[in-house]
Amino acid sequence: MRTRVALLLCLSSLPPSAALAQTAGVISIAETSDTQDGGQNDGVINIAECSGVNQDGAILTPTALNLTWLLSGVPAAGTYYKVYATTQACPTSTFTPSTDIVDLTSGFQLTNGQSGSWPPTGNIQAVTEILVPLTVGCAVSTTVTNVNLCVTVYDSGQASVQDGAKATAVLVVDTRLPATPAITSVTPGDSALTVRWSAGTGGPTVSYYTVTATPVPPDASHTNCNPGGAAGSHTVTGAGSTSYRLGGLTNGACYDVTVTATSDALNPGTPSAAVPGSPVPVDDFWRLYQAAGGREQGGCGGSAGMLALLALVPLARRLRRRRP
Amino acid sequence: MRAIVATALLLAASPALAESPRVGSFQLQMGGYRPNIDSEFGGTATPYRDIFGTGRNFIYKAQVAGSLYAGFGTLDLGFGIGWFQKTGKGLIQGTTTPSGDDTSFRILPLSLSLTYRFDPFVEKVPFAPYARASLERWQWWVTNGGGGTAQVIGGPSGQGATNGWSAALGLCFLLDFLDPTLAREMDRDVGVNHTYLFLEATRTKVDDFGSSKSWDLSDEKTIGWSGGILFAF
Repeated sequence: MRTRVALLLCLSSLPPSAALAQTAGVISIAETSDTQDGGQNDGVINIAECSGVNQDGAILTPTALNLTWLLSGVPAAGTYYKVYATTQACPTSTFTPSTDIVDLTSGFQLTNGQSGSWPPTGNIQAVTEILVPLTVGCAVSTTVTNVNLCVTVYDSGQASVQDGAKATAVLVVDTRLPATPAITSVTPGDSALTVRWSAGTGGPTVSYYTVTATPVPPDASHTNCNPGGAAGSHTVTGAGSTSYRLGGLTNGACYDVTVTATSDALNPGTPSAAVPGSPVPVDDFWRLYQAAGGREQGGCGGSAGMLALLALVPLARRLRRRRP
Repeated sequence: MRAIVATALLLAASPALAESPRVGSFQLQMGGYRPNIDSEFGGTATPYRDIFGTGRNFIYKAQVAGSLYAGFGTLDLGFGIGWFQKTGKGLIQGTTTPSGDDTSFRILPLSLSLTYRFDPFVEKVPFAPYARASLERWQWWVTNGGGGTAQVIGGPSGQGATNGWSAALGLCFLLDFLDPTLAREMDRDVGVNHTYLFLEATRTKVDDFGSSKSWDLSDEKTIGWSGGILFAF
């Protein structure tokens, strides 16, 4: 699925150039193959997007970045655009590529005259084109890495940067894992298990929890239950969530229940320790009342009450007519 | 000259002192309640107690009424609506062990009431006794662990309505007595003639008038007490 949600980032307003009319500009970032966060986090690269490997080990389509920038004013013919990625601040003078400054335009040189369009658009084929040269790894980290994307304009000889023709944006590489939750109780319900947990400490903000009940065969920790239950899983949104009733399960079946937190960058954390559980038939109040032989059978009751209520209407009209 | 000034002041003050026309009343009420459901089993079963315990809970009501008569006292015809909810844990079948599933009993009491309030002297003595007779129709439903309406497999659904009646005696205390100026401002600004606090003793019988196919939603206590605030406008 191709998603294009633009994240508009601004840039500094620099003094107008005497040679060119460009001043400030804007870069928009769209992850054109944003497979791991549904396009929610354009401009944020999580572990799966960074490594190209999903949580279950599946190889992903590489995440491509589409960069569009707009510089106010029209440059002179033959002027070159250059796009750099750097873990440093965008330089204000001529760029010198190094291990932390990568020239992204070397593979697709852009010039105003050649592209014939305004504003020009650059397409970086894969995130790795940025992250690998910058030696930004995809390993789990406790901090985020900001990669600055810098668009600037060189003169026709590519010898010097044109002052005031620059746009910047930030690409965030977030490989932090959320804290691991701990299940505090699994209580049986009717075709359901009510799971309560406590959030772990530390880590980034949690976006949602995934509560999973996996059917397992009976063993020493799963007694008085049967194999072959229906599996169940549900995501519970919100960092403050600490309980959920997972329905759709099979009464009498053995289950292992886990809770997994997922960060706001959509990095799933380590699942909690599994806790056994088994749904059971439950008597709610109505069932218990009926099981005891209660005489109420539901429905709208006798008509006597409604008829009596209606009988008051003409009385009310008569009394109102008597009022002066 | 002095007489002219006095007359002018009197004329200026008179609109504020004049009471606005009386058309009805609105009241908010709360009191203790516990349905008498377990009584039909004669002690052999106590499903309500088993799930919800032994405590009494609040029932909330609101009533709007139109005045049919306002002379030597006031006769109001009113429509009331309320809310009662009690939540407990369903029991693991065949045991008395609470499960992880919530179950709730919810009642939406509707009523049609005639109220006579003896208030001709309330400006001098700030108390007004009243009597009320009501026809009741209480919509109710029971929820299961999944949040839906409870259902016995192959049996009846846990929702319905039960009719009945109630009678009440109460005493109103006129709050205007404490701050007459504020009371006049309320009448002038929003048309509230009088504001009362009230205490009420109620006898409720909600069992489809003794039907053998209905449960008894009457208050477990013969006389239930409640209180609230009433605005006469």
